[in-house]
Amino acid sequence: MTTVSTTEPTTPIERLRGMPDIGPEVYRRREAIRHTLQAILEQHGYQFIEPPVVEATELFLRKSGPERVAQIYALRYRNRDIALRPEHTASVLRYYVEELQNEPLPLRLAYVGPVFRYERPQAGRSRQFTELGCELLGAPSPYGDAEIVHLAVESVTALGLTPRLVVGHIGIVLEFLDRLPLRQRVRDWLLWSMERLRKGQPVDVDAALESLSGNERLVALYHELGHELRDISPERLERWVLGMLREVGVQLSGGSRTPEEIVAGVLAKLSRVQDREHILQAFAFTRELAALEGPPAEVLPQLRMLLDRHALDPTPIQQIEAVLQLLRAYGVEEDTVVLSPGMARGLHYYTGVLFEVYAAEQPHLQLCGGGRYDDLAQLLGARQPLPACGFSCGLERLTELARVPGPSLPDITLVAPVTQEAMPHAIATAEALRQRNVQVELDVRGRSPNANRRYARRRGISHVIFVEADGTTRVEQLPLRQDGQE
Amino acid sequence: MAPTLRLAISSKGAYEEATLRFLESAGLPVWRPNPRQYVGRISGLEGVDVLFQRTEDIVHKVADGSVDLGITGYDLVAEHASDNPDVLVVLDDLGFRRCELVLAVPEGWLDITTMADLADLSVDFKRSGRTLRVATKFPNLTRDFLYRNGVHYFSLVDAHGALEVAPALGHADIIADLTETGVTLRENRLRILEGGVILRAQACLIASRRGLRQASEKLERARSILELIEARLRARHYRVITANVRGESEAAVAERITANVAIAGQQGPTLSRVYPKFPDAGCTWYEVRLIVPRDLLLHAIDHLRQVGSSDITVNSPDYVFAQRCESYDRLCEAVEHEP
Repeated sequence: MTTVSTTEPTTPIERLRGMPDIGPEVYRRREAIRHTLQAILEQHGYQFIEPPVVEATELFLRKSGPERVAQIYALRYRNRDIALRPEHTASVLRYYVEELQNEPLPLRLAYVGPVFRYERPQAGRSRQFTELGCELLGAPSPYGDAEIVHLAVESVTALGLTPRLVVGHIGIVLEFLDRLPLRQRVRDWLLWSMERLRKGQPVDVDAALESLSGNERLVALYHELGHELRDISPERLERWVLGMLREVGVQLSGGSRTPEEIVAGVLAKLSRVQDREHILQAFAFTRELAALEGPPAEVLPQLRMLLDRHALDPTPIQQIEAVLQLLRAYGVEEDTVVLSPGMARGLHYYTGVLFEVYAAEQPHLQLCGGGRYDDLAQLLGARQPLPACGFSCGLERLTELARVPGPSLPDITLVAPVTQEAMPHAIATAEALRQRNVQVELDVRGRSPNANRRYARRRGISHVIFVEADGTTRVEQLPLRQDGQE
Repeated sequence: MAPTLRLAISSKGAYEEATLRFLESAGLPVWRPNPRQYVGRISGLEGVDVLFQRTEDIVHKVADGSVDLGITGYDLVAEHASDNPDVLVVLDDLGFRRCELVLAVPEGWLDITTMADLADLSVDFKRSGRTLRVATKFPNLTRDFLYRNGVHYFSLVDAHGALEVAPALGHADIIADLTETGVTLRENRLRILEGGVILRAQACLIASRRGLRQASEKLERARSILELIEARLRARHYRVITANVRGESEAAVAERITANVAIAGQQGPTLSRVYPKFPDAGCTWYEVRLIVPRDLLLHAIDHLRQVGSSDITVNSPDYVFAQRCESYDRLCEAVEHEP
């Protein structure tokens, strides 16, 4: 057996990169803000729940966008793939599927707790943060959307910030993409690039085209042979190519795929060139969509024209208009709203209205975001479709930006026994005061009265009660601590 | 007593030999009482222990501060410590044990030649209820690389022993493995994907922020080692040219040589007079010494010939010292700096 000597100094163990310590002061501020936001949600009938921090990795992979997937803290533990949750929505929906499917709708659920994302650590972004948010399950658009957007705006307003609300609708682009025979990878890229275009970031279309639909050699080959091959059925073509390759001695076995799969892959690669047209068509549309951004009165007519031109379903516009109208009833005026139909956000489970809230004071820092995800419950195994929407925010970021006075320092009284024998009396005094809701600290170091006064001043303690061995007490009021003084 | 600086190097056959050869060439010959012992010393350098360790362990020992310096593969550092602020890469190009971490697919997969093809395949696999299995000993580098290249649906298979046979045996679909020449991969009927190089690596020198923080004496000893290694590495890029040039005067010769600025040495040529065996009336010979970048050697020779040189000899310098030891400066800054 080895024993560790406690006197020998050892190397200190440092905090992991990107994992913050929350000190008492920030903790107090954050808790105060949590209370404020929790009260707003509870006033609207939301009930708080607490799903586990660790879930099966698969839960988060079902419908997260590629960028989010790459940030998951996933690990294999005792032969199970588990992950620290990167967000709450998937967990809340899993809980719904497991426990709440027979409950009357709508369900209003809220949560607050730590989430983990493996991001590059930088200012204002850490790998663990506290996410607070809510989900409104069973409320279709526009009533559900309006309630959620209102909650997000009200939360930001309650913290003394001026909200700048940006609203989009993912349904527009999804309908356009659904009409084209696009592969999942192409759709992922198009949504990703639309979000980049919207934010004014560059997108390299040529490189993407080559990656998504083949290089120039393949394009040339397809133009030469494509239309003649089109008349031959894929099965016959596959049989023919497979036969030829076998005849000239090309090894197609080896590994986990059959020769038939490989030949089908070769032909699929050639036909992917056809996607080129569709990709360019879709990209042109997403670019137009991403370029539309501004006050609703300006953007809505342009958006209507765009949808008309492409003969797209006008329902999303009606939904946006309805939500804006309802928001007016909540007191959100249209002039604080920016319409951005090219918004995609990083999560791929959204299906309808989505939104982000920024602080007018810090236009680039997103404070909250959310939207509608009508497919997610079924994707996670629900028996019935469940219209749902929600929003969330990062508490630490809000704490940093909030323009509300922080909670005042707790008013603490120090009870100090003057001698060792006085300790039982001091304990009794402290307990009696605590019964009366006074915050009391007890000197447990056996300090002299002078040392206790010094300690109290440095801690900002205003009253010291000295307890004598015979049980008599003497209250001393100390001069108030000046701000910024230790 | 001042604390000893601990330098860990590989105890694995070829890797050990290459490291010892490298240190010796830098003027740091390692001596140990007998080959079975795991601690050695550097002749002529007091207070340095050389520890022979498993190559894979070196990164971890540097990370936890139980050794101060280590020479190991950059691939292992990138895999195990890219996110660890306690492991500082001081010199990443020691010039030996070059290798690449690559993604390779079975040769018969004619349709999969690029990373984009692989991304499409992973989606096809997912749709048919399968998962693309990737066998590797470098899960972190491989995962990040696949994500970066649009491959999102896959699982990593822990690999023991020979990776190259994993696809043939059915343990995995494809592999991410280290290769020096690609021969082993080809022999096992595997093909490297276009754009499938995850990392190019060679031996590198790493330092422990924790270990070196404890004592300034250690940093001072590390400086001795860094000075020699850095100057040795820098010397690889230079050649010393000595030539005899005929001319009327020193100034005239110097002018002709410095006419080509790029190859006139670092600051300029050094000239000294040659006293010929057979005096030639009216003409003097000068010996010119130049230090030129290795890749300009032939240009320099041409130029010297044009200005009338003969008897040109070329040497490689053992060391080239700069004004300051740059790697040491970097190390000091990194050790001081809070992560």
